[in-house]
Amino acid sequence: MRSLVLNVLVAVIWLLLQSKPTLLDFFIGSALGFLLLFLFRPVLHSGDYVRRVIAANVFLGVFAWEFIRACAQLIRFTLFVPVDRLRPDFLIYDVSDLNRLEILLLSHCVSLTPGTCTVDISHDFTRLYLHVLDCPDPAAVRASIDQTLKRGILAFTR
Amino acid sequence: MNLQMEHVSVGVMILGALLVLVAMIGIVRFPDVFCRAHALGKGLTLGLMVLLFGLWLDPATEVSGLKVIAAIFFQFVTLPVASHLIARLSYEKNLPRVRRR
Repeated sequence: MRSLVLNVLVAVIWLLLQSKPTLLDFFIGSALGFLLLFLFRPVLHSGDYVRRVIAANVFLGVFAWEFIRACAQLIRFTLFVPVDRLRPDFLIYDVSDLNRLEILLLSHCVSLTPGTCTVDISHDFTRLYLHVLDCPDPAAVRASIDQTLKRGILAFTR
Repeated sequence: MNLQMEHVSVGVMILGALLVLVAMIGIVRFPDVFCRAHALGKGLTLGLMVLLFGLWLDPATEVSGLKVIAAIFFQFVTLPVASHLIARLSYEKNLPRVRRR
């Protein structure tokens, strides 16, 4: 938390130094602040913050790639695959070891990644009901969510 | 330079409009409500984001840059929720769905 405040503070100071501040300057300032926190992490005890920010950015990249893949797949299913070939089905995904915020992030990301869409959650917040557009193999879908989304989210929330 | 930017902007906007068109074709073609929610949630999100990004590149609307970015952000946050709500409602109402095994 303290590290985040320091990072934003450096960004604001960088903005104040500009004659005409723009949005780009704010990002440059944030990057500079992050660089300082990275260089002085033994003194400022900001190692955890640095790790989380890097993990979050890596996840952002992975997620953007998955999102574009999802749209490419949707275009393929819409235009080039006969509708009879689709095998839509429901799938239950176990989220009992995640907290509320992580479930929220995961379900939002699942809605935007290839072939899956969040439908419902059980009352005790342990199972997500997903709808899969083309589901020949439920285990493969679960494994891909585990490896890309869940691992990425856990890397920066824990 | 400005003219080139304008061409790029128009190209990106046409790309976004085509993505929205594909999403709409998906909504018409797919067999049941859940599959249609897929087309809505993904295709429309990326389509509108690309469309607004094209608007952001347009040199004529440069002053409203931050507004366009905020609009992109809110599209990104709200559209998947809308598709989730449609899917959830039809799940609760037990609307007919297609199954093939």
